[in-house]
Parts: sequence; C-alpha cells; structure tokens
Amino acid sequence: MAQFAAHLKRSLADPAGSGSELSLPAGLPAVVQRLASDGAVGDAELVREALAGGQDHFAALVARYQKRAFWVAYHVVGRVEDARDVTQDAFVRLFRSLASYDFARSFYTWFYRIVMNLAIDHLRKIRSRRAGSLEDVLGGLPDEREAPGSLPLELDEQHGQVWRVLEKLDAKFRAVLVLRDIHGLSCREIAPMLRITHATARWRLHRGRQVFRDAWERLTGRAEP
Amino acid sequence: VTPTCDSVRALLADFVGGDLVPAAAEGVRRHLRGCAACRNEAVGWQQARKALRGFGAAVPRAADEAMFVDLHASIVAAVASEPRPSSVRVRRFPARLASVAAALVCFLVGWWSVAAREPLSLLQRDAVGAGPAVAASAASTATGGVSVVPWAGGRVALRPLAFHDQEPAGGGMMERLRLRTLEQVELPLGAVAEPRQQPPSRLPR
Repeated sequence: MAQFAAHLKRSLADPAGSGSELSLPAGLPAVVQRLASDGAVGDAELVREALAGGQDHFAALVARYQKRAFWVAYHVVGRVEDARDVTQDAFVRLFRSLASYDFARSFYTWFYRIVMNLAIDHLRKIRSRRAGSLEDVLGGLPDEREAPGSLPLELDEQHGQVWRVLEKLDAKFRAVLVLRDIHGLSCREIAPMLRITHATARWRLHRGRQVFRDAWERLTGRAEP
Repeated sequence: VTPTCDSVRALLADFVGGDLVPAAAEGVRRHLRGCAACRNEAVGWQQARKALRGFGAAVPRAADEAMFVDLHASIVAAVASEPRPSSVRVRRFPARLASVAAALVCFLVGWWSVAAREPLSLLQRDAVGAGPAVAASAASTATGGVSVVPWAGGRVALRPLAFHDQEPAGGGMMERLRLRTLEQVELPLGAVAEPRQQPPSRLPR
C-alpha cells in the first residue's frame, strides 16, 4: 500500500518533473472524483469493483491514469492527436482485459505496458506510412502529408530540435529514455513494463543516452569535428 | 587522457542521469574536480539531459485542461459501449495446448513427408514396384529371366542377352537370332515389365 501511495503521489505530479501537480480532470462526478483522489482506495480495488460492474470505479481509474498515460504516449509518438488516440485505445484495451489482471502484480506496470505497446505500435505505423509517402514522392507526385523530420505543430523550435533527435532513435531506446529520463521511472520499474530484463533496460538506457547525446551535439554544433 | 579518464567517461551517462551507486558517483565527482577534459565531457552530457527534460516539461498548446476533460468523457463513453468484462478469468491453457498440438502435427507431417519420400542410400531402397512386382522380378531373376535394377524404376528393366545358367551363346548367326527372339519368351515380369516391343514382323532367315 505504501508503494501504491508513493506511486499515486508521483503519478499525480507532473510527469515532466516540473514539480507542479496534475489535477484530476475537471467536471468529474463527485463519486468519481472521490474515488480517484482517495489514496486509500488502491488500483486493485478499483479493478475489482469495475469487474463487478462499477462504472464509477473504472471512471476513477481513467481519471487517475489518463494524464500519465497521455504524456507517456505523447513523448513516444510526439503528437497530441496521436497520443490522445493511443490513450483512449489503451483504456479500452484495459477494460476488455480487466478479467486477466493479476491482482498479485502492480496495476500501473501492467497498464503502462499496454500504453507503451500501443504507442510503439503507433510509432511504427507512422514510420511505415512515411515510407509509403516517400515512395509517392519518388513517383514524382507532390506529397502534402507530413515529411520525415517535420515538427509537430505544437512544439517550439527548441523542443522541436529535441524531437528531431528523439524521432531518429530506435523505438526500443526511445521507450526507455522517455520512461527514465522524462518520466523518472527506475530501470526496475521499466523492465517489466517493456518485458525485458533489468540488465537489458540498463543497457538500452545507456545506449539510448549515448545515441541521443551524439545526435544532439551534432544538431547543435557542439560535436567535435 | 589517462585510463582513469576513460573509465570515468564510461560512467558519465549514468552519473549525470543519477543512476550510479553513491560510492561510484563520489569517485566520478572526485575525478571531475581535478580533470577539466572530463568536466567538459560531463557538461555535454548535462546539456543533452537538460534538453531532454525540457522537452518533457513542455506542454503543447493543444494539450490543455479542456482536452483532458474531453478525453476522459470520450474514454468513458467508449468503454460504456463495450460489453461488460467477465469476472471469470479466461483460461489460456487450452489455447496454448491447441497451438502446441498444431505445431506438433505440422512437424510430424513435414517430417513424414520428407522422410518417407526416399531412403538416404541407394542401397537401402526397395525394389521398384513393391509387392507382386518384387516377387516377380525376384522369381524371374532366379530363373534367369529379368533382373530389375532396384533403384532405377520400372521403365529400366534390364534384359540379359544370355542366361548365365545356360550354355554360353555361340557366335553363330542362329544363336544371335535366338537371342533376339528372347523377348518373345513369356517372362514373369508382372507389374514392372515395360511395354513389350513387338518383334520384327519379318525375321531374317
């Protein structure tokens, strides 16, 4: 329970680490608001009640985790609309597979695994779509769709540069880098989310940081010739 | 750059990311105090990390509070249209068992189709045309009729020019004629006998 309370506190904090509190969505029904913000009500209990037909309990789970899920998805896929779709998809999948939840395990590890899998799948679809658009370009037709390396409209130039670097990272490195360096999860937490060993998580983090730093320095001109 | 610098630089990513154990972090810190080159290297790591965290802290304009309110409502609405999840835990064992059984069947069929096609060695093969054909060829061989090359197929049944248990064929013309007419002899070739060639309609006399 102490672990859950600590996680809940962290999950309600800004995922980006700015220290500000992420409030629950406004306009929630009072019962959902109470369930979502009550640290004494664990995730497992909400799942159990949702399985028994408690819609408010599932709505409380959504309220509790939607921002966290959204930001993880956003930092992987890089676009608000895509992250929104991934988040909604993740909760629908969560609802469908509630019965298979293992109550002996951590809920948020399980849920984040769903979010990460969907986000990475989405990323791969985007990449393959871009490959298709490149073929169109080669075919001589002007392509109005998003070109590789273009910036999400929501980002300013500074963050756009970071996004350009992140975009080039392999999905497996990006996932670990986002979870560790942006969302502050430990490698011990990341490993089961990505279904890898702790050693693999550490190696991917190390390698991902190296690749990110090299690309960042090349982009910003700090790299040695 | 000394070996110490190399080993410290290998740890810088973890050091800047806060992933080193305290003793190792203290060792790196101590080295950085006295090594400007490594300090410069560490600054590079810090700048990259700062940029990454800055990106993480940035809130895009489209992701405002109204979007989250809307997202919550749309998730709840999407889930409301879903059938209620069963509280009975789905057993995955039968599905796994079925997939293992299917894989086993595929393997066995594949193995059988490869293994039953032909033996590895020519010497291990059965005579072509099992059953009556083998018996027939064996009988005919025993009587000096026809020997069937076991591995060559039914169309290559060899016919000896002479039977070894008979007197050697002579070199005369009549003897050659006798050999050529051997094909008219009733030979128990059975199912493996090749289509008989008709003897010449007119034999030289």
